[in-house]
Amino acid sequence: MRRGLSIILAGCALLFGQRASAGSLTVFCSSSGAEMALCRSETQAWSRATGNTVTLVPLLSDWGTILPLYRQLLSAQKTMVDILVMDGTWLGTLAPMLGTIAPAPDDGDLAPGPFVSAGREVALPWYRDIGLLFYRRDLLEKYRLPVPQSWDDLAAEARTIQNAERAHGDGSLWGYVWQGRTAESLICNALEWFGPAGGTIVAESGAVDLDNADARAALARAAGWIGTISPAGVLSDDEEAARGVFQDGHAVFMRNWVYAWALANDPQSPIAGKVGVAPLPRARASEPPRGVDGTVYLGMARGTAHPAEALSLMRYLTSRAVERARVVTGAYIPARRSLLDEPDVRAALPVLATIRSALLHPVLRPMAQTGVDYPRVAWLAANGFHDALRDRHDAPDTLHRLANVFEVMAHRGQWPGRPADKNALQEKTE
Amino acid sequence: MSRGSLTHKMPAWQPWALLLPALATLAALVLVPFVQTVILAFSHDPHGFVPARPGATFENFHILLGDPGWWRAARTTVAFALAAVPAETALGVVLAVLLRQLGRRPRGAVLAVMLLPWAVPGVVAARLWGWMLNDQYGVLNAVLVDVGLIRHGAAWMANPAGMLFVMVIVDIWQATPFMTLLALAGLQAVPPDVVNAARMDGASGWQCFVHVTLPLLRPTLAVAALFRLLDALRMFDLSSVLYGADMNGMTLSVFVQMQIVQFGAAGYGAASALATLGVIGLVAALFWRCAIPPRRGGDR
Repeated sequence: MRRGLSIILAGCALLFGQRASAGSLTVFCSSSGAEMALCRSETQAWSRATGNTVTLVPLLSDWGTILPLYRQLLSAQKTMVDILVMDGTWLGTLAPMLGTIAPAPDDGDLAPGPFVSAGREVALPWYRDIGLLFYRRDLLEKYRLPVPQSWDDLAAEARTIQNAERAHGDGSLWGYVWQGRTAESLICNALEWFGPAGGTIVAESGAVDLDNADARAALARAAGWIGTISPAGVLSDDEEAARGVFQDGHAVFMRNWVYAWALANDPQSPIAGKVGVAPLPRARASEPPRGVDGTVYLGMARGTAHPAEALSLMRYLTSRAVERARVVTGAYIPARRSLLDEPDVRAALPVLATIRSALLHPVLRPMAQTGVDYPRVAWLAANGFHDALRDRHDAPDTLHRLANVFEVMAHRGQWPGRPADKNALQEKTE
Repeated sequence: MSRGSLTHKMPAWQPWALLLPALATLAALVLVPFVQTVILAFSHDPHGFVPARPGATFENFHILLGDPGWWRAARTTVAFALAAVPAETALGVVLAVLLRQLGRRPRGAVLAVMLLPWAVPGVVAARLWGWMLNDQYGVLNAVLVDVGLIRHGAAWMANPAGMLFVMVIVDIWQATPFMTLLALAGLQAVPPDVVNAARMDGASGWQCFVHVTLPLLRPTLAVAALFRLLDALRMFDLSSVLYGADMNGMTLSVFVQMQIVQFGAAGYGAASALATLGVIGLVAALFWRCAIPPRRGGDR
């Protein structure tokens, strides 16, 4: 009994003693093996240089479960975590619980810029991702078709190739696979269809911008793909399901994130060497290429005991040197504009040359405008878009209804950018 | 009151002292969270960029009443329970009657195999069925395409009715063994001489079953079905694993979990949890009224 008690006490001493020592940081920075190794070597270099210690905590591989975990950790009186890696979509929700980051002179080089909430910088972009169009180069060459620049081109080419290949016996080939499952990735797909005129659900000014002609037309266009160039099951597909179909050689085009490039060209992949990648098509071919931004950010807990050290480590991890090393060893797209044109970066990530133009015009989801409400906005929008796609004729109704709901939420949650809400905003930041 | 000698000797406080540990545990585990839920449900929880305000309000319930998501989840949950539980009960009785015809040993072996789905955790079952029903690489579509019944893989879970249907089928697959087991226990408790007496009076096998065995089985079945009903009304795993955040297949439990865990809306989540409790209570009470006939006056 006494022995058991002493073990528990020793355990407590170990737990809390470590927290008390100066300059000891707890960092959540990755889940997967390769990323963890990279993170370890980077933080070790920083601890050697500064004399602080860093404890890395591996994250769950399912990112959907991390936001609730962070919310719980950050709202505790004494935080157990100092630095966190964050998906861009969580920033609005977590911002009130994140520490303020003092601006630095070279912040202008960061793209997209640091995340600002209620006038405070709370997160630094770490590495980037963007929605892209993957295509079967061999099939486009076989039918002498160019890479599609508009959604209508894509549909026409997909139909041509799909019908011709099916006539030659490949009955399982589809034209275009994307992410139609009721989830965040459907929001990304939809914002890419909408184009600059269709808006991003909530405009930067804070006004709800969803019930417009371009958004309606875009949803109707996408609904028309289902069952013609996209399998009906696309409505339950996420990124991995779409990649499965494409990588097995059952699709001509696919919308996905950068990670799919390396996997599609893996020696084990049936389509290795037959794949091309390009910026996504647009509503009008004349518009500049764009894709939804999937940047991953770093931030620190508001209650951290070592804000100076945490800031120093975050600045180090997002520095030019570390970002360059990350792209060379891990093929992460750097969040620094000036690195995109450097020869060794281009050599490590040849895709950069083709997607550079899209990286210049990232489509940001309305995290900053909707704040804590973003997860609910995204949930309602994803469900609305999904229903509109399935029922085909429902797009105007759905968008009108969603816009009304978001107006109510904007009023109730007092989203910023609305003149009447200034007082409440100040109340929150104090 | 004066009959038991034990109660006579015991001071009035002693039973309470003996009950205290159990009551304290119950209070800590049930009463405190429940009271906290009630408090949260009546708190201002506006979300967005403004913090919660002090004071009590009906706002959360007011919003809930007009929330199509909640109503849809309530409809899905009740429809799911009302489709799955009667089917499981009927199937359970049929299988139990068939099993009773078997000898002791084969019955044990068959029962052990039959109970396997019940032993599979709900999350695992949902994943397995999700894979088997996948429109592109699912085994069910592969078989149907091979046999020539369909040309392209069907997307079974691409519309709301299909989503509900798949949940009901998986639940029937999983929970029928439980009903079979309980129905079998009930059947074995039916006294054989009652049935024999009916047979001697000239009743057919079917008449015996409907007019003698089933009425005797009814109390057992009602309790078993009530258990299943309560289980079905709070079903979480199938809906969450198969459909995630999709409102079309969302049950009330998933709705409540989304509000609290995904959106961090404690007040609204608490209000929807209380409303869910109300729905479950209402359905269970209605069921109990229908399943158990009112006792007749001279019943002893």
